[in-house]
Amino acid sequence: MDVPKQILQLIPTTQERSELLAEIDLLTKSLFQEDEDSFKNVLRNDIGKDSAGILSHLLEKEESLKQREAFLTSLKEALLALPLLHLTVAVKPSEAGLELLAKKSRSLFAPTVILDIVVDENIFGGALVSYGGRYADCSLATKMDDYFAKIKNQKSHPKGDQPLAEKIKNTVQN
Amino acid sequence: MLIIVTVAILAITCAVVTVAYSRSLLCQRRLQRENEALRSNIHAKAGALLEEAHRHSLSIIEDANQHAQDMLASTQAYVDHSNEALSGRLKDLTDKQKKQIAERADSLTVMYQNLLENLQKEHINTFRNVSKDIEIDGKEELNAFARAVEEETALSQKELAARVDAAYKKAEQEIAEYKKSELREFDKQVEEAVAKAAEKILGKSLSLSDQEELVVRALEEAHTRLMKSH
Repeated sequence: MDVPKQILQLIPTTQERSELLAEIDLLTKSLFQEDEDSFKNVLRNDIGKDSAGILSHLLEKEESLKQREAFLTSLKEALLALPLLHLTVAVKPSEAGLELLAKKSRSLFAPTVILDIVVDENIFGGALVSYGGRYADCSLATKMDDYFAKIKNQKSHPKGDQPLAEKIKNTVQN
Repeated sequence: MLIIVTVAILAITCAVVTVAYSRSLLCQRRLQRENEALRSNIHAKAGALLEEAHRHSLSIIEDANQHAQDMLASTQAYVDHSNEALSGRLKDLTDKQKKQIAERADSLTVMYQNLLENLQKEHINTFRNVSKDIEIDGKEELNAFARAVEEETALSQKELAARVDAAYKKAEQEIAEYKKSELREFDKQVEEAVAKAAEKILGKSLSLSDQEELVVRALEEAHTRLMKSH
């Protein structure tokens, strides 16, 4: 069963995906309860408003229990198969910032990519990015290290500088 | 009868025994008298002999004394004579020895004088030769010393140059090590200071939107780099 891409694009991070997977499990379990209103109760009480709205809209088309179960199973598999972009940042982003990052990630890497965000203040700024088994260090800490290493190299090997020992030797010999 | 006969025989036997005994007594008395006579005779002879022996001994002693006195007298005379002869002989010998010693001394004096003269001449020659040898040897030693000093000087100069080079190399190494060590320490201090400063400045000066903007730029940069490496 095909899962609409729109719902997949609504999930920005692995945290939301985990929450949604838990809600899907609850709904799946409620399908087989003796109480006929169990499914509706779960949708109303235990599922987040956004998720509940989307899911109820999607499940309207699937009337039978088996169809609903099949849809939920397909949705779960699709969520688990979403590509991950691991992102290490210095500060936890705001909701707006998170949306911005998710949007940027989807435009750059894949339309359905979700972010796995870790906060590490030692990187100062920027991000450590890992996607599809490849890694890029774009942190501010590394850029600073590179910058100071460059300055250090320039100090260590200034142009036209004669070693001190050579100077002493020449002085004594003369 | 038998008794009579027996008594008769016994009477006869007794008579015979008595007679024999009487005779024995007589004989004993006679022998005793002879013995006494003989003893007295022997005493008399022994006294005479002793007297004679005494007189003879005295005469012998007197003769011996006389002879001894004579001998002593003759011995003294001989001794006197011998002393005189010995004195004379000794005197002769002394004179002769003196004369011989004087002659020997003269000859020794002459001999020693000759010997000393010869030795003096030899020593003088030796000293002259020694002086010449010393002069020659001294010159040679001086030349050898001068050569050795020149060689040592050259060698010392080479060694000095080698030591100076080694010292320069060592100094270079030490200075390089010191420089590295100082640079490491300096870098460490700078890194620590910069890290602290960056932490303070960036952590406080960068706003959340700045941080998010940096993350967006990081995403763009990472995309570029990852696509290049892909």
